[in-house]
Amino acid sequence: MKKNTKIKAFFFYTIAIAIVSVWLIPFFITLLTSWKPMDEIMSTKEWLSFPKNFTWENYVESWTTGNMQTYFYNTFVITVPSVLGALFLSSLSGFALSYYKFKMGKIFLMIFISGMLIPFQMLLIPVFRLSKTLGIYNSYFGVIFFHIAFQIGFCTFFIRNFMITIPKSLFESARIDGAKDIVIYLKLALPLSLPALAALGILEFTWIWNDYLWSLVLLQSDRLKTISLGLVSFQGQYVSSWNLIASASLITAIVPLLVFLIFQRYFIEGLTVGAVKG
Amino acid sequence: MDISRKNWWKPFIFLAFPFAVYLIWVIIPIIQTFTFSFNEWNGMDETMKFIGFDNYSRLFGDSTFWVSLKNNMFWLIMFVIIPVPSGLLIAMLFDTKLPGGKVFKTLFYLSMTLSFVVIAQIWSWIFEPKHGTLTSIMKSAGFNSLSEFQNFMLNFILFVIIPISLGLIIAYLFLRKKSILNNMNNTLSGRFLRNKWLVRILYITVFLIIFQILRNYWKPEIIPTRLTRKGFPWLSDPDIVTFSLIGAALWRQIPYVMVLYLAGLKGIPPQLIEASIVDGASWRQRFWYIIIPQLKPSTVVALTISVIDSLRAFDIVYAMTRGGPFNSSSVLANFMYIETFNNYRMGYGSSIAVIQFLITFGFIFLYLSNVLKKEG
Amino acid sequence: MKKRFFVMLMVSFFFTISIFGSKLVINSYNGDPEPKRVMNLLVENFKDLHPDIEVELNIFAMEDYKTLLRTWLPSQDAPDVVQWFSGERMRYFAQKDLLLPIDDILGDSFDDYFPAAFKTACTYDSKLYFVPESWYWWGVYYKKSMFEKLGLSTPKTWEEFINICGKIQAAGITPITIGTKYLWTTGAWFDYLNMRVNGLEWYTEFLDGGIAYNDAKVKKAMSYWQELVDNEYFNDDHSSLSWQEALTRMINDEAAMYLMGQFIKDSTPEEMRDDLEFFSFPVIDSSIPVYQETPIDGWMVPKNARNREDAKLWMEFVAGNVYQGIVSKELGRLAANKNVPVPNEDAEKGLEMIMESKGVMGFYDRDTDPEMANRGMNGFVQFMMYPENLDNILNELEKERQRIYQ
Repeated sequence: MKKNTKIKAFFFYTIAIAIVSVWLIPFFITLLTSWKPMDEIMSTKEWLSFPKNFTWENYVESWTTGNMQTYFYNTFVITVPSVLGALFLSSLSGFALSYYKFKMGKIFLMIFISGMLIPFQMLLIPVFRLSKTLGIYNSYFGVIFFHIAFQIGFCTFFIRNFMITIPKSLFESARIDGAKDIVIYLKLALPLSLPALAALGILEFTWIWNDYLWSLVLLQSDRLKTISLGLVSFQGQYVSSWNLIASASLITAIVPLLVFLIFQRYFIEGLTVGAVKG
Repeated sequence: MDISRKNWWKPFIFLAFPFAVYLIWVIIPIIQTFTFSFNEWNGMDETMKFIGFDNYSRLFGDSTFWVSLKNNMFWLIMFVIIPVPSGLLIAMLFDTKLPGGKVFKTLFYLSMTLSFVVIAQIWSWIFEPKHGTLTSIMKSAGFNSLSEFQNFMLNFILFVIIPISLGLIIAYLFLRKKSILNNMNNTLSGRFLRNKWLVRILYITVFLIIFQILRNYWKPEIIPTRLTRKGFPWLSDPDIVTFSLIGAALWRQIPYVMVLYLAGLKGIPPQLIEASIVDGASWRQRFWYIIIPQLKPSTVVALTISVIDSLRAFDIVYAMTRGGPFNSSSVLANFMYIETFNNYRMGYGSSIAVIQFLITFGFIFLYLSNVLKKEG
Repeated sequence: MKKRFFVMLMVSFFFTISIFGSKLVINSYNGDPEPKRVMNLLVENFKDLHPDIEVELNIFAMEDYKTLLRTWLPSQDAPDVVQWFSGERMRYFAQKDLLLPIDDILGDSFDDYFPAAFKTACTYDSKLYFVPESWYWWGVYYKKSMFEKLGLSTPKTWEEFINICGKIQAAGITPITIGTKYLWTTGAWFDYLNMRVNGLEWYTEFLDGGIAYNDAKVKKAMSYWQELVDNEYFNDDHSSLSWQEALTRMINDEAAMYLMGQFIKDSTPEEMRDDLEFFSFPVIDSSIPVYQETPIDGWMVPKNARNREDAKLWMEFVAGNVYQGIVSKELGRLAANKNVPVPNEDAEKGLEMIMESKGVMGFYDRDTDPEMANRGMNGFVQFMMYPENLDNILNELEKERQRIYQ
C-alpha cells in the first residue's frame, strides 16, 4: 500500500510538472523577454534563454512612457463598480427566477440567455448611439452601465443556477416564520450564494478589466482610457521593442492575476454548485 | 415558490430593474440588429433603405461567408474534442490531496487572467516563422519545414497510432468472447490467451506489421504548399492559420474547462467513491460508472460554454490575423466586424450577426429545452 | 469602500459633463511616438496663441482611428476637428453632408497658402472642406550600409531592380519586406506598377471606376508583380504583419527594401534614420513618363462640431507657417504651405523626385471608392499568396466594381 502511494505521487508530480511547465512556456517567454535589453534579444534571438544582462529597466520605462498610472486608475474606476453592479442586479433577477415559480419565468430566463448568444460586436453601433443619446458617451458611466447591462445575462443565468440548489425547506421555514420575500432575499438567498457570487465576481473582474472593444468605442478622451487601450497603443508605438511590450503586457495583467491568486480559494468552491448545476 | 394569482407581481419587483437595464442596453440593440439586416445602411446616413432579404441572399453567395462558417465549425469541433476531454483528465489529475496540488492548479489556469491583447501578442511571438518558439522547437526536433512535420505526423498517425488502436480494439473484442477462451481451458495457448496484456501486445504487433507492409505500397503525403515547403508559416499559410489560432485560443480555453470540472469533482460526494472502493471496483469502472455520470452537469456546462465560445470566436482572430491571409482564417464574428466597420456595410454585417445568432441558438436550444424540461 | 467609489464616480461624471463647455476637441491619428510628440508640440503652440481656449487632444492608433471616425462624424457631439486624408477619403464624408465647408476662412486665400494643384484634393462639389497640413513622397527605402556591404547600387530600371533582388536573395536576405495585415500597403505596389506600365491618365480613369479590373492592361501591370512573387522576393509571412512589424525586418537586417512613404522614418530608431535612403520606383516602360505618389494629410471640421468657432481658429492655425513649419522640421515632411522651406536634404531629394515627375496621384485607397479600395486590396493580398489565381481574383474584383459603380 505504502509503495503504491509513492509510485502514485511520483507519477503525479512528473505529469503535473510536465503539463504545467508546457502550459507556462508562453508566460516564461514574456517574462524572460521583459528582463532583457533589446540588443540582447536581437543578437541571440532565443526566446527561452535566461537574460545575460538582467534588467528591470523595461518595467520602469513602460510604466512611465506608457502612462500606465492613468490607465490603471481608469480601469479600476470602471471595473469595480461594473462588477458590483452586475452582481447586485443579477442577484435580484437570479433570485426572482429561482425563488418564484411562475409561467413567465422560463421566458425571462430564455431572454437573459439569448443575450449571451449574439456576437456582441454587433451591439457596438446601437450602443454607441444610445450612449450618445443618453449623454453618457465618453464618460466612465457610459462604459460602466454597458458592462453591467451586458453581463446581466450571464450572471443571472449563473446565480439562478446556484440559487435553485438551495434547499427549498430553508425558504419554507423562513416563510412560515412570517418573513417577507425581500427579507428572504437579503437574509437567506444572498448570504447563501456568497461563494457563487465570489466566483462569479472573479470571472467578471478579469473579463471587464481586460475589455478592449467597448472602451474603444465608448470612450474618446485620452484621460479616460483603460489599460487594454493603453496597451494596444503602446504595442503600436513600440512595435520593435519587444522587451518593452513584454513588460507592459505583464504590468497590465498584474491586477487580474493578483485578484485570481488572492481569491482563488473561493473561486472553485463557488463554481462548484453555481456553474455546474446545469 | 408557487405564486397565487393575487401575488403575480411579486417576482417582477425583483425582475423589473435588472430586466429594464438588460432590455435597454442589450435586447433592444439586438432587435435593432435584426431590423438593420433587412436594410442597406452604412451606419452613418440618417435613413436606411429597405431591401428585404437581399442582404441574406447576397450573404449566401459570398465565399467569405462560407469560409467563415467552415472555420467556425472547425473551431466548434476543436473546442469540443480537445478542451472537454483534456480538461477532464487534467482536472482529475490535479484533484489530489498531495501537497502542491493547489499550486499546480493555480499555475495552470493563470492564462485565464490574461486579456486577448496580451495573449495575441505572446502567441505572435511563438508563431514568429523564423525565430519563434514553436519554430525553434520544431528545428531542434529535426524538422526543417512545416511540411516535413506534417508528413511525419501523418505517418505517425497512420502507421503507429491507428494500428495500435486497432490492435487494442480487436483485443478488447476478443477478450470479451469468453466462450472461446473457456473452450481452450487447459491448453497452454488457453492460459496464454487469458493474460490480457499478452493478447493486447500480440494484436498490436500483428497490426503494426501489417501496416508496415502496407507502407511499402502506399505512401501517403500531404502535398507541401509553397510556404510549408520552405519554412514554418504558422500564421501565413491559409491551410495552417486556423489551426494556429485555435491553438492559441485553447491555451485559454482548456484551463477554463478544467476549472469547471474541478468544481464538478468537488461536488461528488466522497462516500460514493469510498463505497465503490469497498465494493472492489477497478479504477476504470469507477471512472465510467461513477465519475463520468456524476460529472454530467459539468460536462453539459463545459460543452455549452465551448459551443458558445467557439461560435462567437473573435478576439484572437481579430488581434492576430484580422481573418487573413485573405479571409482564410476568418470567422463569422470577424467577418461581420470587418464588413460593418471597415467596409461600411452595417446592414450586411447585421445579417451575418443574425445568422450567427440563429446557429448558436440552434445549438444551445437543444440543451436549454432539455434542462428546463427536467426542472419542470 | 463602496461609498468612496460612488463619490469618485459622481465626481468624474460631473467633471465629464462640465467639460462639454467651450472646449476644442482635437482628434488625431498620430499614434506613433514621433508624430505623437510633434502633435503635442503643435497643440502647445496653439495654446500659446490662444491662451483662452481649452484644448482636449485625443490621439488614437491609426487603424482604430479609421474605424472610429465613422462613428464620430454622424453623432450629435462630434469632435471639433479631425485629422484625415485628402481626396476620395475626405469626399466620402463630404458627400454624406457630415463635414463643414470652410470656404469662409480659406476660400479666397487658398492659393496664397498652398500650391493650386492641391485644391482639387481638398474640395468636393466646389466647396472647400480640407486644410492640408503636409505631404510626402513614396519611394523604395533601403539601408545604405547594407547596399554598400553587398556592393549594390540603386536601380533605375526594372531589370536592374530584379537583378538586385536576385543578388540580395542570394546573400540570404529577403529582398523586399511588406506587411499586409491591414491590407493598404499593397495599394502602393498596385499604384506604382500601373503608373509605370499604363501611365497616369489611364490609371486615373481606372481609379474613377471607368475601366474593368480584368482589363488586359491591369493584367500586364500585375505580371511584373507576379515576377516578384514567383521569385519569392517578398517575405512570405506578410499577411500576419503590420507595416511597422515588416519594418523591423529591415531594421534587423533580415530584409533589404521597402516600398513605403516618408513616414517610414517616424518608426525607424533614431540612430538608424540617416542610414535609411530611398530611390524612385524603377522605370518599367521607358516610353511612359515617370509619375509619383504624393498623399496629402490634413484636417477637417465635422458638421456636428460643437465648437465651430474655435475649430476654425485651429484650421487657420494649421494652414499657417508655425504649424506647417513644425511638422516639416520635426517629421521631415514637405509642408503644404508654400512659404515654409524644405526642412532637410532628404526632403529636398524627395521634392526633387516629385518635381521631376510628369504627374502625381494620392494613393490607391484615397483616390478610388473606399469600398472598392477595400475589396481591391484584399484581392491583392490574395494574389500575393496565390498568384496563379490572378484571373479569378480580377474577375471577382470586376464584379465588385460593377456593383459599386453601377
